[in-house]
Amino acid sequence: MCFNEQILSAFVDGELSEEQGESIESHLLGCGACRSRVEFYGILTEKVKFSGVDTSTFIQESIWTRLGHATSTSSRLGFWHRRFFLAPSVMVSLSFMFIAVIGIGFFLLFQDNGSNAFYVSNADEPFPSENFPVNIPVDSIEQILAYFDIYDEPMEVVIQLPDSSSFTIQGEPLFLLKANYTVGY
Amino acid sequence: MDIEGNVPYTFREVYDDVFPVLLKVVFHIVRDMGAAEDLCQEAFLRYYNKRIPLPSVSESRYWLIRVAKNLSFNYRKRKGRESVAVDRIKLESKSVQSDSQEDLIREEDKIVIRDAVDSLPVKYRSVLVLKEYGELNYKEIAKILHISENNVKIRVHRARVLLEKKLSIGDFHVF
Repeated sequence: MCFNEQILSAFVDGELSEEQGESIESHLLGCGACRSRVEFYGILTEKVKFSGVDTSTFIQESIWTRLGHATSTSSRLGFWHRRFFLAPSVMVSLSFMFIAVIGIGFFLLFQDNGSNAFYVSNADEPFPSENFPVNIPVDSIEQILAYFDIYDEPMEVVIQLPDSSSFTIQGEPLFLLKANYTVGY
Repeated sequence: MDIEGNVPYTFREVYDDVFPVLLKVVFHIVRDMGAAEDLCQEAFLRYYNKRIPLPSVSESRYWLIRVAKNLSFNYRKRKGRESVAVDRIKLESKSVQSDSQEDLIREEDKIVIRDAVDSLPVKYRSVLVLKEYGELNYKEIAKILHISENNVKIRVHRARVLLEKKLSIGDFHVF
């Protein structure tokens, strides 16, 4: 009985067990059809291998040199080629710190809206007054109250709102409580 | 230039062992020597930049051939049949410069066989290229392609039957 062609193909490739190989060899002695098939597979294999290219050592060495350049470049570009490694916990901590720094920066930037929001000037004396500084920018309610204590005279307080569209003013309630509106100014 | 980590081999050892096979396999998929060199370099770079080294040279060999094969087929998809046409033109011009008529016939035969292998479906072409040009056995091919050895045997046989049909059409005969 003839062998399956797949078996004959594997036989040509030397992929069968010793026992199977011997069995086929003895069969081939008496079967022209199988022998012809095995010969065909053998020639086909040789022809395909013959059509291959030779890889010279010159190419091998030139690619090795190129690899040397490429790997040295990748070492310099460490981060993108993952030449160093950070633990995930450290990466998460660093990310949070980065976000916190950015957040604080923005907060401080908008906090600046409160400065120079108050101006104090003398309402009665001619402008400019020698006795009292006119148009003095102050940063807090406490400074204005201090002026009230020093100069017991009517004063005009101008609250200049910031130019930016979003801002907060702190201290107004305190200022309103201290101001004496009953005098009539 | 060496692999990081505790492995019983050097990058150079892997390179010397695998490169000749890799270039043959890649070339017979893309059929353009310049592209084959670039793709081999890319495969070795990926291997070099792997964070976890492979345990042995043979495992590295399977990994590299698998990656290079995938890179090559992707390259083929991108380039279409352009590279094949260019390769054919190069080979034809080279064959014209050959001295003897015998050389001319040999070169022509090579081109016809390569074209026939190239026209096979990918799953048959892969096993044939790995086997005949890469000179790998069924077990190695099975590991690279993640299929069983029996499947490799079936595919090799079917590839040969298809090749026989393709080479029997026209003027070319393997006998």
